[in-house]
Amino acid sequence: MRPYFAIVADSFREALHSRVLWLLLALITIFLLLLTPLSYSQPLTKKFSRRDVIDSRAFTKRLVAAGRADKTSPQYAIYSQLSESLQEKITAIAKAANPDRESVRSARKSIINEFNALVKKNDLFADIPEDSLKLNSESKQLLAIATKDRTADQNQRLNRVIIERSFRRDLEPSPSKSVLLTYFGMPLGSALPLSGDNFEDAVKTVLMVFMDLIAAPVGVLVAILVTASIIPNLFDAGSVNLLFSKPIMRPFLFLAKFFGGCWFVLINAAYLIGGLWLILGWRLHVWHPRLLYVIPILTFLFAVYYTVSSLAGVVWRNTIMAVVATIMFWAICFGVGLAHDAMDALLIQPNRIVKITPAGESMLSVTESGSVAAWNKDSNKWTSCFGGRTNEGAPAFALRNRLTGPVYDEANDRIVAVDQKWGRSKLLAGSGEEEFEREELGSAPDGTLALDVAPNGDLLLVDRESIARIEPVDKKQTADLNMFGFKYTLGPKRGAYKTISPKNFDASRATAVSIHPEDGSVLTYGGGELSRYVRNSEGNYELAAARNVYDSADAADDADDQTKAADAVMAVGGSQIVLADENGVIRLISLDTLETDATFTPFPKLEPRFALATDGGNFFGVLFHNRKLWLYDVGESKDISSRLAGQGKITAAEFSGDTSLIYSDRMERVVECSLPDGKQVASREASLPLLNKVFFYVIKPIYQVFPKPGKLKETAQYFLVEQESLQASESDSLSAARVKLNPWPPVRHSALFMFVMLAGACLYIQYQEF
Amino acid sequence: MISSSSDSPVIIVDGLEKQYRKGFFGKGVRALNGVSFDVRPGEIFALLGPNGAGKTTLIKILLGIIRRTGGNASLLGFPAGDRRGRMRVGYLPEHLRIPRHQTARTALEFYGQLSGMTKGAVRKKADGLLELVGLAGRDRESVKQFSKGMLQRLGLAQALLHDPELIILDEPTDGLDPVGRSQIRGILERLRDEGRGVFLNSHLLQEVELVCDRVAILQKGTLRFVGTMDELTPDTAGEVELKLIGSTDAIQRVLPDWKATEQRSDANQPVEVTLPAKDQAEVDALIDRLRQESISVVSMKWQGRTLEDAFLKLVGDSTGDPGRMVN
Repeated sequence: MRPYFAIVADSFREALHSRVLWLLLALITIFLLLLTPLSYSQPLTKKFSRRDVIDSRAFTKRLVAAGRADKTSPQYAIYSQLSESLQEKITAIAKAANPDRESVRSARKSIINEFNALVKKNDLFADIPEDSLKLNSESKQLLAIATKDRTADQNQRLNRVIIERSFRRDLEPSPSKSVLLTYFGMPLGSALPLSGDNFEDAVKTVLMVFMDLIAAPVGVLVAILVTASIIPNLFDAGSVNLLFSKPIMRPFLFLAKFFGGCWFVLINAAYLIGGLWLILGWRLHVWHPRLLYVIPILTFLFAVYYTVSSLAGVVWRNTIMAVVATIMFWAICFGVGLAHDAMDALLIQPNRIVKITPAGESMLSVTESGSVAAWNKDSNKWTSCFGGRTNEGAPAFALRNRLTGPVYDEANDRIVAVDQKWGRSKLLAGSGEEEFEREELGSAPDGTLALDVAPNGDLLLVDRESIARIEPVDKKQTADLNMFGFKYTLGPKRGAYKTISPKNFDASRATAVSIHPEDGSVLTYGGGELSRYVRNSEGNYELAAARNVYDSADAADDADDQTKAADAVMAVGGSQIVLADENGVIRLISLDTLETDATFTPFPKLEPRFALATDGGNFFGVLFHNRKLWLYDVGESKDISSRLAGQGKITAAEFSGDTSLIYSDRMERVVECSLPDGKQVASREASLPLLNKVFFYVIKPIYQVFPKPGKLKETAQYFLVEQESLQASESDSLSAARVKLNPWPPVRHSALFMFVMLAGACLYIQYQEF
Repeated sequence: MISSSSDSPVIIVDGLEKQYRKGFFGKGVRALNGVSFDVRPGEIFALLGPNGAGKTTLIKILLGIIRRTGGNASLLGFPAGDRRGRMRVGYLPEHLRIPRHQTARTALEFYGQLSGMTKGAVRKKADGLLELVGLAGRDRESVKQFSKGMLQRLGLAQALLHDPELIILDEPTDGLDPVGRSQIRGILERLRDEGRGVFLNSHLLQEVELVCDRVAILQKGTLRFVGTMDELTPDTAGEVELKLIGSTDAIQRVLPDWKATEQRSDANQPVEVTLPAKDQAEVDALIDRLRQESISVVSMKWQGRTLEDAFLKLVGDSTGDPGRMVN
């Protein structure tokens, strides 16, 4: 092997001889030196910012209400110390039916400014009895310090915590400490309300952008320019004859030269990424060992392009041709990838079925973009209904289904849904008799979390503030408005809902809400806290049980612990609840005691998308973002997921009755299978539209066989963010569409491509006469 | 000294043919046409021929750089191109190009390692070889500062680095000054004396004439001659050119066939005469008769007995006269 190591070393020596390399190393050094003074401090979180306000309008209302509260309450203390002008301003906004956005925004700004002034007061809550203050563990600790011993920062932090806990529904809980970036010890902007974990996540995100936009494209391009001459120079007449006369094998000579070029890039990548890793660890205390995985990934990315450069160098023996061929290869890859990704984003993903609703004799499907369609048995097609696309004006690739529901109201043979548009949520219904034609029943509360039909036939709606029963629509309460020749139906407002929740109902932090299909109890989950509300004899709901699923008594009260408690999806049936959190942990929880009966982790750290349960609770399911459905048979106490066909492609699933599962595993297709055997009993599949056929039968096969070096960024992202998927829309809900990160297929594809290119070059060099 | 196990030839070429393809369907060019010869250990063998005769093609086939289309060729007992054969061969190509990032020393280390040597072994030999080729003290210099002649010297050094049994040199004195050529000749003679085979490909016939034991002459891919220098330039038969001073009558008495072509005003004006002669004895007798007639012999030169003469006679002139075939 000695001769080949000598060739690798010579390639490296040749690259070292290049001035471009030294320029590159100098630039990397300057970049790293510029980063070195970057550091951060962690002051206590004191100041409020606009991001802390959850809902400005609701906040103003509650602030005004605080003015009428008990004078010994912290809310009153806060309100009373606001300036008169601000009090007047927020009162006006609270009273206005439709306050303009600008005035709400201006009020929020003023509130934030005055709150920031309030936190500096030492005697802000001096007159408030301690038991009126909703203290958490952090504020208790701060209060335990004698007033004279408390620093100004600690005082301000205490005030901040009391204020945010006094308005828990309206203000985001803040981490105890913020992050203030500094450069040469000087602050860079204001402190960021990030906990240690969040700061690390933010750094990883910045790294991801840096890799994607700078390190990968610029680094690889420069590396290609520097190394492009290595192979063509090998074939210089006076050089190649001498080399070929030596007792070495030609293909190995070529491969040694090739790997010599890669070795050179590996050193550069190691210098850049290793330096970055050390600086981030040393200065920002973000020791992120997975960052080092980027070194081989960057080198591999370069190697993929370098195979093209090398093959071109072998065939044409010309550096310029090698560079041109590489750029053309990149352009073709980019073109094919763009055509595939654009069609996938515009045509395919938005039209994948994400919800299936059996509606009497009909079967309804909802797509990723919110289009509702009913299965037409006669034409074997999905026919658009319920207004078709509900996201008018929004591009299809937004992948945002704003519908809550639809749910089937059997008693009235209709489907009901809430369309949560920005600023104006609407309650919609569609009668089965009228082929589910969409009808607006009126406005719906913002922040609707769940909509379902109770066993007694009541239509229940749960939002962040209440559980409400939707009253039958009184047509007399509606009025039509003619404007510019168009007729608008002014639906009933809040009057159409009857609040039946207890006074202390608070679902402001709920991320999952379920309504039991048999007893109508309402389950809310948020911040680790699971609550069950049951109906009393008067038809109102009351809290029956509450428990922290993470078994920490104080967790729900502690802001920091809340940030640790994972988001989850939930479903309920029979005597159990299925709760799957964002860490991929599934819990089967007793409905009565709210104690965890069993836990499962079929896909560690993978986020779930939907949870489902049969009414009787004999089967539970959790659909994950990897499109695999975890299916559990309670009777057999067994995971029966493997009995289902199409795992890995499932986008929607719903139980139908107690022994049937309906799911979609393909575009335009919904299959029904019997349980527990998973045997397919029916299929509803429409033929694909022409453009979809073009995608599946032309574009996708080309894309599949074509190398995808650009997709290696997904591999890097996978290692950087340690997740298998990324959010595809602005929603951070678990049920929102995700871009699945496939770290290994790009590696496999690229490795295969490299093998083919290198084998081609080796054969050429072996049999070509020079 | 190379201890050769036998006197078996270091190169055997037997009916070697090479046809280059021109384009995909092109008929091609015949570069070698049934060439046969051998090279023995301890001899300097030169391959001569005009441009395009197929000399470099033949070397490339021997080294496995290109493939033959017919016949056989072997190197040190192995088929041409075999790695075991190439292991024991030192090669200096024509128009040698050593990458510009090398110094003389790193180049020797690189090529030495390609020949299977360790870095340490190269270092041990490098200084002596650089001194031998006249590059002592220049080992740390980048080759981009080297003249063509210095590159040739470095190329020769790398060819000798691993003590090869056979040295193939393609135009080794190309770009060298007379002193350099003389040094190279000395090195070649030393290699011959050590029992190594030297295969030389050169245009410089005088150089070849001075050091080579045997030559082969190629023309348009066909072997015109292979043999010793004596066989190529025999001291029998030919023409002798004389420069004489004497009266026209006296000259005509000795050489009756000679006719004065112009009026000679002065008997001291030299006269050039070319005569056929069988051998030196016949020439000696003629000179005796000229002296008896008081004719001075200013100079005498045998025609057709230098390598150049023989070469030109064999390959003919530019009109394509095939000359004389020698088997």
